[in-house]
Amino acid sequence: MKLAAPATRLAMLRLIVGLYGVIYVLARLPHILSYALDDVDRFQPVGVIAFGDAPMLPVVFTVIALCTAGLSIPFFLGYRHRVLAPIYAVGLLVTLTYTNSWGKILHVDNLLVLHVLVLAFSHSADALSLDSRRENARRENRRGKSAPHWRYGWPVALMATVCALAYLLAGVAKLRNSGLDFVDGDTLRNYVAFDNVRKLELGSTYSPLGAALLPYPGLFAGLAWLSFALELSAPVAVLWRRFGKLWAVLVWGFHLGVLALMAIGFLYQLSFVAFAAFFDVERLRRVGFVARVLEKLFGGSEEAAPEIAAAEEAP
Amino acid sequence: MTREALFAIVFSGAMVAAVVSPAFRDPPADSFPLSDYPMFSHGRPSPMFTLTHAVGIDAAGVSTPLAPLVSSGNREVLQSMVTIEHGVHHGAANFCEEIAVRVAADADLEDIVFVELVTDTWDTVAYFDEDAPSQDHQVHAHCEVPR
Repeated sequence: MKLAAPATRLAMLRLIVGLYGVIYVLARLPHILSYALDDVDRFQPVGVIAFGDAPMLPVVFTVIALCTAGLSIPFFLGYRHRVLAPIYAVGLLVTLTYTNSWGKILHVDNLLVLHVLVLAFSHSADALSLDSRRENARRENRRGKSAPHWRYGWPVALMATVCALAYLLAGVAKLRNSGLDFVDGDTLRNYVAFDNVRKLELGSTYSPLGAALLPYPGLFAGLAWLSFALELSAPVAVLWRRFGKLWAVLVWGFHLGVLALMAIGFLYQLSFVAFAAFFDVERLRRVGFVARVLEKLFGGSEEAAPEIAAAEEAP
Repeated sequence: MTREALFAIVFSGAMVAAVVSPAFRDPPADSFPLSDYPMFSHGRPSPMFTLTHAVGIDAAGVSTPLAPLVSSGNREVLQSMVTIEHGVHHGAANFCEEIAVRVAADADLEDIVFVELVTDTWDTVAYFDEDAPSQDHQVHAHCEVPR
């Protein structure tokens, strides 16, 4: 695993995760605000919310959620990153943890929160940002060297590691809770059946494909082995970058399968944003449409910071 | 070692330790955003499944599961499941009437006359093959939709 990376790779990750955050939080804002409840009986705090034993005043949660939604935009644009990005990250952590504190923990937003935390506390706005555009104008040295540097590499490696660890933990949980029964018996088929019946009987969308395939238990046994292998091979994906790219694509395919068979949509994974850290995403800035948008937003800012980085030695 | 390098090492170490920590608790702990990801990890050798849910009943006596937003006021299907269970155990009659009010306000549900909170048990594999009826059906509350 190489630790040095160009500033533009980390910056592009901020743009990708940041844009996802803007769309996701704003689109779900009405749903998020529906958790502005004062129902003490139903409140089951988890994570950072567990420091308090009662729900927030609804107005307090509403303000936090609205501020978080607002701060998603400067995070995406890389504006006043050092100050505003950590506030956004903490706001997102609090807001989404609060929505999971009402009796049911969902696992769809875990990686988003962890990735935003990494990006917020790193130099992810040293390029492709309003901050770097302003810095360029001030210094009048728009032509720096784009040398890779550990400063921009460790957050990328950490994002990939955090992603891989989530899948490794899921594999370990299966081993611990059901041993090889998960892959050996009818467990996965029964899960697909159970989850689809549950959705139907709760008045939600289910997967007709998953239901139609239930008479073929051998298929589910094969899928169980595949998912198990992907989860337990996650550490290799971090240590061996080329395999990591293949692994990311396969795990994305796994989520497509989950969507097709169980109608469970892990949006962050399905959008591929969760796996962006496994790739040289800085190349995207050369793609025509992306290049035009970036030029319009940030001018020639992409080369603002690396000259600072190049002057320093790796630890 | 620079302060920046020290920060990178401490931050990365803390993040990795935090992410793996739920798996090392005894028993492992699910939380947010740190989780041991226990969903779908337990053995499920039997296809039998018991669920408490809310159904709407029309004038002909045909029952239809109510959507999460109607049954619990929440779009999340799993959150609605927890809300219904909580409602049944903390005053099923009152909770049934709350749902009935939401049904009455929904123009798409104007054919619904009654709301029922029920617990059913199914063979989930046979469910799709044969449209098998519930093997155990327990009614917790039955209430009329106010029109």
